[in-house]
Amino acid sequence: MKAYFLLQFKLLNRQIVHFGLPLIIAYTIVPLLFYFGFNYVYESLKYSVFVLVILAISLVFKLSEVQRNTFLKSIYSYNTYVKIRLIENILSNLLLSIGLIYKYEILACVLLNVFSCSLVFVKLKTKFQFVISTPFYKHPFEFIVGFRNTFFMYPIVYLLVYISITSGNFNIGLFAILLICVICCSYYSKVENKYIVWNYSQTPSQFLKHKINIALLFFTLLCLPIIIFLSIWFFVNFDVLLIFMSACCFFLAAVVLAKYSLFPNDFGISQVILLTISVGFPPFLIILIPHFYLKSVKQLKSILND
Amino acid sequence: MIDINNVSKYYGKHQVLDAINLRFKKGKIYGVVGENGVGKSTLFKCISGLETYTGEIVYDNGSLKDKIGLLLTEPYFFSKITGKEYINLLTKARGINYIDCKVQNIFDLPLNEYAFTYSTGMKKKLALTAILAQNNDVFILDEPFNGVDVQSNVLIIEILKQLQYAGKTIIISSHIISTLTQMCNTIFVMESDKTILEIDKSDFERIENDMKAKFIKSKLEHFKV
Repeated sequence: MKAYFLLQFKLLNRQIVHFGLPLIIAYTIVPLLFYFGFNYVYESLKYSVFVLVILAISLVFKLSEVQRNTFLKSIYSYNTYVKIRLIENILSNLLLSIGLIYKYEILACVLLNVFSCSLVFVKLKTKFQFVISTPFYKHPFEFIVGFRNTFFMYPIVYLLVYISITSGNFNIGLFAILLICVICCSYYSKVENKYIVWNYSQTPSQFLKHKINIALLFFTLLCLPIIIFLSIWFFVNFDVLLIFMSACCFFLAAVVLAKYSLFPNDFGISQVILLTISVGFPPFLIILIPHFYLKSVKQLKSILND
Repeated sequence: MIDINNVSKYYGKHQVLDAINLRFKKGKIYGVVGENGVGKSTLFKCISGLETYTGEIVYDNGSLKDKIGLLLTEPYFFSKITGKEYINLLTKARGINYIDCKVQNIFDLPLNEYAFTYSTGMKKKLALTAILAQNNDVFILDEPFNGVDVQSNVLIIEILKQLQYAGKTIIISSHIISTLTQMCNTIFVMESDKTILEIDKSDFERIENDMKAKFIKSKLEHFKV
């Protein structure tokens, strides 16, 4: 069991280094980012604990992935397997658990960990035959796959809009749009296999424009109900809503381009830093979008038509 | 016609292909055989444009990349995409906006289910269905018979013959020599010393005997059960 966790630690370190981040910085930054992020969400949202717990549980579900668990069961005895999974699930909740205890949310902390531990004994189905319907089935794959992975988030987002309207808090409505933007950005977080891109009979610029158009269209469609409700209930803030929505669109376009700027490699630390700067200072996107666009065209030239 | 002139490929310092010269004509089926790791898949990726290379690959009918149907040894699938959506993805990528999946579903696959739930053979058949739907002129098939049931293997052979009659160029790599000799016009044997032997249909009998003489004898000399 010790060997397993040492190996996981090695793999984690390898991933961090591959990402382009020195280990010492990663292990300093992550808790700090968590601290500030946790405080921000906790203070600014009425049902923050609920949202945070749901997010943590979705991470634990990832660890319960069937193939991974079948592999673990095949190499360890049942008792060792259970111990490993219990430790893994508790470790994945560790930072949030500390945060919840720090805010005296003891009940939420206990429920989160009890639920996470109970997942170890739940056997997930090996093959989900049930296909989740998606409104995006006609268009290439980011929104099809992404929607199926995150569909449970949308009721939460629309619930936030309801809370925003009933409590008269416009900022919660903006947060809901931001959440959709983050969810849509996550659809572009993983680089697809070279083969999929190779299939396109397009030039790099046509390919990128197509990808951005799809991303912006579907993002706008998902936000449309929120925009309608917020513009009716908070008409005086319509200009803010419009500016915020535009900033989100530009940011999403930058993420799409960033994805292909190192293609076929995954996102690197430089892209993440540049995107993070643009979150704090959105006008930076005016420089960032052309920068990522030119880099993406260069990367895609070797496998798409010139 | 595809002309491969002096194509070489290095991965770092490791040379995989050394100044290869090959010619693939329309309406012919070509087999490519060789030991594991000899460079068959690399050659296919170079022809498709998935890998960079030195040398020249010339196609006499426009952009080769957009006319190749490439079946990889292990086809790639997204986690939550149905068979139908996979076919749509690959055909739309080639500018085909509508495809009747019922007609295309020659292997009777459960196209409304997630592709990742398919067995190895079904995944291969789905990938093959998708590239057939792309209506390509050239087909490069890396191990198309691996993991596929006998009935489907027979069907694949018949499909390939029909494609040949329709004037398509087909290049197949397989470790099942008997299947290749049954349908290929020419077989290229890639040797570990980077040379390539070209064997025509009249000499196919030679391949198996040569391989037995060359590999099995030397490997089994010191092997005791």
